[in-house]
Amino acid sequence: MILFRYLQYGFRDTLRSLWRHKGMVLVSVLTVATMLTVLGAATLLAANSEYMAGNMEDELEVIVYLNSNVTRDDALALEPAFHEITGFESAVFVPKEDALADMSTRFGETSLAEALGGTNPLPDAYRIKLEQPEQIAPAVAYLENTETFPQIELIRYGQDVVENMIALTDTLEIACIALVIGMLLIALFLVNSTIRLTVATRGEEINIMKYVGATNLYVRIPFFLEGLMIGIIGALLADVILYFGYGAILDYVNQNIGFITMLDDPQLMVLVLLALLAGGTLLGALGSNIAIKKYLKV
Amino acid sequence: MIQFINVSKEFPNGTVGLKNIDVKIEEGEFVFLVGASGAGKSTFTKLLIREMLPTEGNILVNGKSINRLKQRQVPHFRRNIGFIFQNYRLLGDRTAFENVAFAVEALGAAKREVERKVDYALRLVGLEDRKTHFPDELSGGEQQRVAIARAIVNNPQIIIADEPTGNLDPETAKGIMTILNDINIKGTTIVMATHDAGIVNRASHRVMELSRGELVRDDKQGGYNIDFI
Ligand SMILES: Nc1ncnc2c1ncn2[C@@H]1O[C@H](COP(=O)(O)OP(=O)(O)O)[C@@H](O)[C@H]1O
Ligand SMILES: [Mg+2]
Repeated sequence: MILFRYLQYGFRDTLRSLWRHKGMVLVSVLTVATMLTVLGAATLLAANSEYMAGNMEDELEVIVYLNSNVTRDDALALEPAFHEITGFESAVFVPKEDALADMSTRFGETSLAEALGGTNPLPDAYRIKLEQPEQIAPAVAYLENTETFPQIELIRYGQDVVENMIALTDTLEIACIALVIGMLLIALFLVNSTIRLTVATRGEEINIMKYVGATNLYVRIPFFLEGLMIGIIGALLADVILYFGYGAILDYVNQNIGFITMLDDPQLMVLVLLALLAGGTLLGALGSNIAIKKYLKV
Repeated sequence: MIQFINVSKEFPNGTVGLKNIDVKIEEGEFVFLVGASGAGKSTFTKLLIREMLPTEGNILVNGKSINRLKQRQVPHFRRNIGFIFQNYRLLGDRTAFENVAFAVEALGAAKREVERKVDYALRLVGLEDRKTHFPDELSGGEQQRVAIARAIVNNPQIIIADEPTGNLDPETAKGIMTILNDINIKGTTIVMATHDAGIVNRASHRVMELSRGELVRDDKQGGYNIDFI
């Protein structure tokens, strides 16, 4: 019964206090929102860099062009030999007709075949994919052996691309981790100073309450609820900013920057937004707790 | 009602706040605690509401030692005591009504009981028409009257006031003293620290004088002459 009244009065006091301390509340909400937005953005950035690195890795392949005198049957018979390559993922045979057709559409000229007078200068080829970029170099060395593979005329692979790729993925990962840590530190500092400011103004208030004979529980309830609400409102604000902000960036990149494909994963987005909401709630609850703890022992 | 048994208070930095205080205050008494600034008056009142513990001796309130109270028992102990400060100490973000109501709500009282008690207390101090004013919209005397209403709203047995008129002009101070006297006449024990000789001499209450932490005088119906200091 008493607890019920405590909650009832506590809830009313919370709303009243939020309203009467609008300025301070706004600062706190914005602090929480800022830190959570940055944290969410860093998380999405990390997910994107991983995703893009994965994309580029997917596109890494070794293209093997066959001699023009190799018959179609011999060419097709070659495939099982590629399975011996360490890290082998797939090998796709590209007959020269397909290659020509592909080239034609790429140049937008169906008359390319006609221009060539019915002949096809392109060779048959295999596109071989490997599991890891690091496996490309040994695979190439293996394929270059003309005794095992006399049918192979030319091997093409992006040596530079592969090496840069490996370096880039590592750099991105480190940069993202550094960003998240840096942001966490800034956020911690911001929240800490906001709490200090609140405590400075609320310390006397808590003292007075204790003089009047209020129990710690009774003093705590409104501060706890207030922290909770500030945390939740801040988190919701961060969620809104991230959701619409990411959507806008996604649209822009998709329409204007062709060579980058950004991650568009609603499930991940929901997960990040929920995590931020949970983080904000926790932050608000813990923050208010830390703020009043030292004043309760009067 | 209140008993100090050989109470001494030495602060961590070595300053002596009170030395060997041995007094008894009976139910219904009005006691002035006088002495120069730094004599130990505030230390006396703070010990009495258990804001701090004595380094030596024992303090009994209603026969019970308050030294032995556990931290979580302190709020309940304080509900039997009304405290009035020199600087009023009202919650700045709450109206007069809300400041007084808080003390009743903290006990878990129902809304109607809260309203009845607060209205009664505010009427007693003559502030029924200032209910919705915030502290910064009230004069010093009015703020102190809100603080008195807050102190008496739960009908405590004891009221402790530390220089309640210290920030007020003589005329306003008289008004405050009238209210405190009325409360005392209804049976509430009052311990009031002050260094205002005028106020002490106009009344004829018991006077306990402190000097450098020691009790140097305890008159049943004393005055307060400057040459005593
Ligand atoms: N928290 C404290 N720490 C150290 N010394 C204190 C503290 N509070 C009071 N004192 C000292 O104790 C003495 C008595 O102070 P106080 O009781 O406040 O006097 P009064 O209220 O009569 O002016 C003074 O010398 C004062 O400086
Ligand atoms: Mg004092």
